Amino acid sequence: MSKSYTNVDDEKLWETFVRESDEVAFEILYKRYYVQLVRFSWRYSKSKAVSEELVQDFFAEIWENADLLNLTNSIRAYFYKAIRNSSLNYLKHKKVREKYDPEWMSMKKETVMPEIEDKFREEKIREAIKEAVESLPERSRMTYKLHRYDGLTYEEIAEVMGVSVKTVESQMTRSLKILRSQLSYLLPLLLIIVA
Amino acid sequence: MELQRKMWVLIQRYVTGNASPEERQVLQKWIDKSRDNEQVLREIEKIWKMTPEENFETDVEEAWRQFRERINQKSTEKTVKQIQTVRKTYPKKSNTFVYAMRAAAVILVILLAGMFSYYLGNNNSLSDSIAEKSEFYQMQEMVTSRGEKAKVRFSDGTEVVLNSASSIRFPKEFKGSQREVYLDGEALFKVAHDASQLFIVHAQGARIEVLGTEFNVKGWEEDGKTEVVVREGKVSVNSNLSELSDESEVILTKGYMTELIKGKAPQPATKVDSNYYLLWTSGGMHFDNVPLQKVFRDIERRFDVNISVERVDILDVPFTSTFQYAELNEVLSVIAASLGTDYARHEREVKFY
Repeated sequence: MSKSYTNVDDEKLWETFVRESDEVAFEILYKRYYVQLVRFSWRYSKSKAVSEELVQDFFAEIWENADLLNLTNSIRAYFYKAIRNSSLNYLKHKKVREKYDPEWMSMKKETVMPEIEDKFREEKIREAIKEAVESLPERSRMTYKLHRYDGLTYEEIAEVMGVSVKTVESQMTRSLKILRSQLSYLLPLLLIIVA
Repeated sequence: MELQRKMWVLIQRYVTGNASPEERQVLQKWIDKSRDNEQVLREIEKIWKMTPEENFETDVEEAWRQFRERINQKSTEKTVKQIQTVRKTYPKKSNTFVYAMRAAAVILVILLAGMFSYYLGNNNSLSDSIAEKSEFYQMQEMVTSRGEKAKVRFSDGTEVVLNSASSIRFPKEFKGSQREVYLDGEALFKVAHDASQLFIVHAQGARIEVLGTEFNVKGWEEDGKTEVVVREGKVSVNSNLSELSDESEVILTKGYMTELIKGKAPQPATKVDSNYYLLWTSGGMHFDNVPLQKVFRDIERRFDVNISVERVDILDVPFTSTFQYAELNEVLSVIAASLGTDYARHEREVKFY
């Protein structure tokens, strides 16, 4: 029995696993999402070990209860949503959540003009962008990263974050606005760099 | 310069790749209007594109290896748990009476073929081919005592719930074109579909052939007959006597049953409510016009008791009743009431007057 799964979409793989107990289908789904999900969880937990454990727990659970899960929509959104829940749950229990930046926390307005040497210019700019992204309000930051790094659609992000697509869009709009004003000192440099 | 909110949304959609062709056109017109506009768009595009990847690495292969280990451990736990859960559905105690529950015993039976290959010893080619066969014939047996039930899962994924005082023999691994098992007692089969391997249940005098379906077989040697009810799919029931085969075959589909008395051809199929015939799997009991003698045998096996009667003539009295969840005392009382008599129980001994 040699089946090729390379280009099979998530939903088909899941269906194959549930219907035929096909472990290869599960393995492919697992390997397709393990790193992404651990990284996503890590954005919340800030601990790689914790995130790895949460993701393993999650996969073990869906492995065991596969036939009980009625996954018809985006499998990916379901995965992310579950990991978001368990990560937030972890934070709640760790009682570190209140230390976490609340929604729309006041932004650091002071921006110090970094010294930019020519040869490190691009690197420095990326560093500055990264810093600015990290200082976005939590939910906006998560949304930004889910779209930028994880490639989730706005619909999927809405499902994962438990908000409307409209909210996702306005978070994205606002994030870009904030990033531009945060990085205003870099703007002249930005345009001469070929990205 | 403060941009309009509407423009910001368009820029956002464009930069993130979510803009429609129409929106892109609107945006194009907007940047054509002024250099400043264009600059704003390019700045934001750069910010989006230059957002660096997060520095994150983890070993997915190692994670998968650990995951497999964990799952394998869990699945053994699960099998044991399932058997315990099934046993828990029995009443633990009833008034003065505590039912003893014993663990279902799995007995490995190595049949004669295995012995042969041992005897033939050094004759290589011959012993090899027999060894191959002997492995094929290596049978396992699951046996339940009275008062027990058990769940078995075969190598092909087929699941069997085994009723009390029953036994089933099955090969360690199904090979060849047929999956054959041997049943004495009652069991519910959920056969894993495999068109290339016929599944065959040998019960008292019956040979039941299926491809993949769910059905109940009730056939204790002491009862001398076999009852087959189909819950899902399609099965073929035949006598196991070769001279009776072919013309005596009865095909059962969903909701149909047949009865077969040892040595005879099966009865024509009749429509039934299969749920009644599967009540035992969830702790219930169902009797539809069954002579008390047979009812008593069911009770004896289920509750691990011995029933005796003072008046032998009651054994032929037909009994009809359904218990969603059967408690020994309740079942006995209902029978006594239907007979207009009384019963006495002392531990495992029950007597009807």
